[in-house]
Amino acid sequence: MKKYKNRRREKLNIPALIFISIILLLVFGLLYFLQANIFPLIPINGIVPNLFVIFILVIGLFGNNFLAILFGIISGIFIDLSYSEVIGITPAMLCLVGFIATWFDSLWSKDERISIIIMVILSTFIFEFGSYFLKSLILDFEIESGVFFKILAIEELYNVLLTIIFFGVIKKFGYMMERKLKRSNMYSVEL
Amino acid sequence: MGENRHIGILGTIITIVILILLILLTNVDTSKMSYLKSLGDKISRPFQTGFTNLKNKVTGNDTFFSTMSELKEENKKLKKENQELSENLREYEVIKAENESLKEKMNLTEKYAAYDTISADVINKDISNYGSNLVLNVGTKDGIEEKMTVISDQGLVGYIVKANKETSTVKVITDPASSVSCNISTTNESVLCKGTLENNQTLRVTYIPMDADLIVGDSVETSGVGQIYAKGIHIGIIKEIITTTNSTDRYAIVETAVDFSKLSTVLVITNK
Repeated sequence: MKKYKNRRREKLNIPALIFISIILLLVFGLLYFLQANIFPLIPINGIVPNLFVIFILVIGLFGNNFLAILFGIISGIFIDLSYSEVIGITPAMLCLVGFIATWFDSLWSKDERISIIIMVILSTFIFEFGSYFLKSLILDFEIESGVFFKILAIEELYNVLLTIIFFGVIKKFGYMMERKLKRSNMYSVEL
Repeated sequence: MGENRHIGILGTIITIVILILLILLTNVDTSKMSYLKSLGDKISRPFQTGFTNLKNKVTGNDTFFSTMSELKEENKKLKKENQELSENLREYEVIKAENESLKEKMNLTEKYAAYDTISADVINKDISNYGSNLVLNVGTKDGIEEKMTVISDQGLVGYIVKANKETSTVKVITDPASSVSCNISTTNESVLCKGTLENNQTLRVTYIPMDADLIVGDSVETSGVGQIYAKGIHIGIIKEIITTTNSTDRYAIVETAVDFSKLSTVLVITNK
């Protein structure tokens, strides 16, 4: 599972990034629709999955740091503006997930189902625990660790089941994004 | 390679089945599983009918079938009638739902006539599992401001934490970050009601005075302290009192009057 990678410094290719960004914006719109309207109708014991964590993780794994952080900020701010009274926690935590995803990419293979599942579990934990902890500090409320971990366990299970089901789609989409970015970098690599 | 692919597809199918089962098992009310019975009936009915017909033939009890063509004709007529009635019923249900929504808004305005209010619809609910904020279809252009109290027909809902031009966000009283200063209506004791992660229909009552005499079923309402909530708005009733070895740690559980899972129409109080 361990992966050795010889990374090269790559320049950003603006046209390819714009193209990928438009596609990612459309995907974000679709995921937002599913998260806000469909999954509340089919929860597991009242708990819904977190599609945004998987979304940013995939961008970090198959895309690059820049895209993961950009979309972490865009989607996080959008979510906070829509629902939260504190703006900044969700973008910060999604950026962290994106950053960690690129680190995961250098550690594990993204071709194996099991390694993607482990990454989803870790990312969901980091995102939810970090968000809840920061929120409790800023809004000054008591942490209910027992209930929190109970909810988190079900959310993790839901995220893992979705990852297993959509593993093929995730991989295809991810490699499409990776190919597009690499092809465009053929002419702009600093050797 | 091909075998691995088959295993992958099989694994995906099994996962989908597990997911569907989990969703069904955790959402379906087991007392309402009459469809299982009707499914059983559907399977057994052809056999049962066949056996009965055979029995009638053998015992000569089949005179009914002489009028089969008449019955078929009548059945056709009844089916047509039934279809017409179903269409009428659907129209009636649409009108009824519209009427109920308008009535609800009207009742709300009458009930809280002492306050200046703006009626609003809940258009979205928090997508996170750890919060319960609501989004309303009214904003600053309708006169909504931050810290305005939001109520429903049954009682207190929360307050406005963020007002945009077209929409506003409500912090619901059951949110873990919410706390409301309250009064117990029978004893007039001041307590604090906090939201919890555990349940979005209950609040935890803390800071109960040591000499306070709480009773299950007591009504809880806002005290007006804290500059956010107007005074005297019903919150809920005490469902359970939990006494600990240390009497200062005792707390109570309040069941909220508002059913947040079915909340669709609210009023925003614009004055206090």
